[in-house]
Amino acid sequence: MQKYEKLEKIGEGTYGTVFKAKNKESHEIVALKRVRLDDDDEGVPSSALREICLLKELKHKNIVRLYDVLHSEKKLTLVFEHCDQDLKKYFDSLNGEIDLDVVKSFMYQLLRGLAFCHSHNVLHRDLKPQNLLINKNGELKLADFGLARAFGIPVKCYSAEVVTLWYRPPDVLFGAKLYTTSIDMWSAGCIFAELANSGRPLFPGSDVDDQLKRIFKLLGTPNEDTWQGVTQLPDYKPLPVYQPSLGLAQVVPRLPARGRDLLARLLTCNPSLRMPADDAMAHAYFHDLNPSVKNDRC
Amino acid sequence: MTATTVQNSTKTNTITSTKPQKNYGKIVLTLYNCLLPESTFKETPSQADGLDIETETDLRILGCEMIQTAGILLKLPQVAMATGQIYLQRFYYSKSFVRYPMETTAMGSIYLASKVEEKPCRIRDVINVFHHIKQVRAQKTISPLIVDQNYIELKNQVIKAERRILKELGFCVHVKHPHKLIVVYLQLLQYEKNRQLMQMSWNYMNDALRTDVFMRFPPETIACACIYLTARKIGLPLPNNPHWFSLFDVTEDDIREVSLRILQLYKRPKVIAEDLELKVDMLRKIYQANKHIQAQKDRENSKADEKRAESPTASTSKDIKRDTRKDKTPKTPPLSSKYHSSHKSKKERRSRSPYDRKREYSSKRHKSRSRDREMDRSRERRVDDKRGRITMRKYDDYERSKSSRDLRDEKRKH
Repeated sequence: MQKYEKLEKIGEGTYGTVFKAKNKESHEIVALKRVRLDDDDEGVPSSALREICLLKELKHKNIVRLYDVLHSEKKLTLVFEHCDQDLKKYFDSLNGEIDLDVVKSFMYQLLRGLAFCHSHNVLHRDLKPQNLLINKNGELKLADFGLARAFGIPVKCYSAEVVTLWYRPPDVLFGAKLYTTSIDMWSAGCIFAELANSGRPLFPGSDVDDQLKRIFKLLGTPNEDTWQGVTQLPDYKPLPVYQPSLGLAQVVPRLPARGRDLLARLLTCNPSLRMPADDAMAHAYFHDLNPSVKNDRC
Repeated sequence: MTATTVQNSTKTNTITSTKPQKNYGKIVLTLYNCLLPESTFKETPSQADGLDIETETDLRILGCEMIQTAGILLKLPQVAMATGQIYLQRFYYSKSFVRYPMETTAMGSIYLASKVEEKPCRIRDVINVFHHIKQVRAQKTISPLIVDQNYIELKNQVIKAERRILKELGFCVHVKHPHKLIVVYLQLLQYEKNRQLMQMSWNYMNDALRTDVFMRFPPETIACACIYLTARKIGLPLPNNPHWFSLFDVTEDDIREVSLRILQLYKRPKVIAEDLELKVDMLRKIYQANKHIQAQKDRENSKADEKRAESPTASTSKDIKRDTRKDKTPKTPPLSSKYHSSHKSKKERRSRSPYDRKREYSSKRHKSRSRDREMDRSRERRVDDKRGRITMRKYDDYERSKSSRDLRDEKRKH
C-alpha cells in the first residue's frame, strides 16, 4: 500500500470505496478499489471475487485494466487503471447535444469491448452508463465486473436478478434464467439510444411491470408468433397488447437511418434474434467510422 | 500483515523468469491452463515437511470425500463440489498438509467454490455440516455444534483459509470441468440416450476428482478416459476406425494413463481418518519445535548482531526474521522490495541507528511473546491429545458394550 499515495475519493463501488491514487515510483495515476473484509463475516464478497477472477483474464483496450491485487489482513485492494469519468458524468457535463461522431465512436468501442468479453466466455450482466468509463482521449472502457460471470457450454441456470432495471432485457424481466450474451446486447441497445439522445434514458421504468410496458409500447407486445416460448417463461404475465409503433425515428430523432436499423436489431425482444456484438460491429452504421477508432488494435 | 500481489499469468511468467525468489504466482493457473509440471508431483510441500506420499494421498482423498459429502448435505450443485475438490488438490501443491490443516482448507474450498459457482452457502452451515460428518464418521451420537469461542475461532480460520486459497491459486478460481464435455461427447457419438453409459461416466469423473489427473491432464482427456472406462466395464464397443477419441484430439496413451490413475483409486484400502490425524499431528509438532528452535537461534543471532553493532554481515536466519517482522510491522512494502531485499537495503536499514535499536528491541519482545504463545499452544495441544486418546478409548468401550464389534466382524466376513 505504501507504493500508492491516495489523492482523493472518487466514489463508492458495489462493494467498497474507490480512490484516485498515484504510484509513488512511476507517478502513474491509478484507481484503488478497497474491499473491506473485517466487518463482513462471510469472507471475500462474491462480487469482488468475480471482478478479480474475470478481469485478470480480460486484457483489452476497451476493458478497464486490473493491474494488481494487494491483500492485507483487513482488506483487499484492487489496483485499476484510472479513467477521468464515467459515461453518466460525461452526459451531465455535456452542453447541449452530443456530437454524432462521438456517439458512433463510443458505441463502436462498447461493442468491441463486449465482443471481446463474449469471445472469452464472459457475460458482463450489468451494463449501464455508470459502468462505462471515458478517458481524456475519448476512449471508452467497460468497468465494474461485479456481476459478471464466465459461462460455459451448455449454459445453465443463472440468477435472474441481474442488470439494473432500465437496461434489463424483456426475457430476463420475464424471469428467464437461461440467457447468454444476448443479455448484454439489449443493454448495449439501451445505451446506444441514450447516447443518441445525449443522456436521456430510453426506458426509465419504475418497476418490472412499468419497464415491460415501456418496452412493449415502443416495440409491440411479443406473442408466441414473434417469440416462440415467451409464454413459457417463469414470470410471464399477459400484458396489454401494444402494436409496434415503429417510432424509432421519433424516439431517436438525431440518429441516421443506419443507426436506427442497428438499434432495432439490438432492441429485439426475442433474445435468439438479437444481434451479437461482432455482427453489430460489422453493421453498415459503422462503415464511415473514423478509421483511427476502428483500427485501434489493442 | 501480509502483503502479496496477484499477478496475471503473463506478468508472473516474466517475473519468475527474471527473479527466482519467493513468488506467489509460482503455479500459473488460468481459465485454460490448470496443469502442473511433473516436478511438482515429485516433491510436494508436504513431502518436504516429512509427510510420506501415501499419507498425503490419503489426506487428499479424505479431504475430497469430505467436500463431496458436505456439498451433498448443503444441497450444492455437483459442479461446486467438483470445483472445491480441485481447489483443495491444487492448494496442497503449493502448501503443506503439515502446516495447514486439511479440514480448514476443505471447509474454505467448498465455501469458496459455492460462491464461485453462484450457489453461495453460509460459513455457519459449512461448519455445521463438517461437524456432522465427523460425528457420523466417528460413530458418535449426533449433537449440534455449540456456538462458543471455539466456534468463532473456527469461523475465522475458515475465512482465513478462503483467502489463503485465493492467494495460492492467484485468484484463478474458474475450473473447466469435463462433466459437460462428457454430455457433449456422448451426444456427438450419438449415445446420449444410453443412461447407463452417461451415468457411469459421470461417476468415474466424480471419483477422479480424488486423484491428481485434473492437475495432469486437460478436461478433454479426462472426459474421454471416463467414457473409455465405462465402455469397457459395460462391454460396449465404441467406433475404432478411426478411434472415436481422435475426434476430440485425445490420444490413447493419455486415456490409458488417466484410466490407470483412476482405477488405482479403487485398489486403495479405506482411509482411516484418525491414523492420518495422528501422523500429521506428530509432524506438526516437529515442525513447530523446529520453528521454535530456529526462532531461538535467531534471537541469539540478533543479540550477537546488536553487540557487534552495525556489522554488515547478514544474519543467517533471515527468513525467520522476515516472518516475525511481517507480523509486527503494520505496513509491509510491496512484494518486490520485501522479498527481494538486497544486502544494501539491509545495511541501510541498520544505519538508521536510534530508530533501529528501538525496533530491534520491540521485535525481540515480540518474538519472545510469540514463543510464549507457541508454548502455550503446544501445551494445549498436548492436553487435547490426551483428551482425544481418552475419548477414543471411550468409544471403544461404548462400541464393545453395544457389541457392535461383532456386527462389524460379520460385515467384514461378507
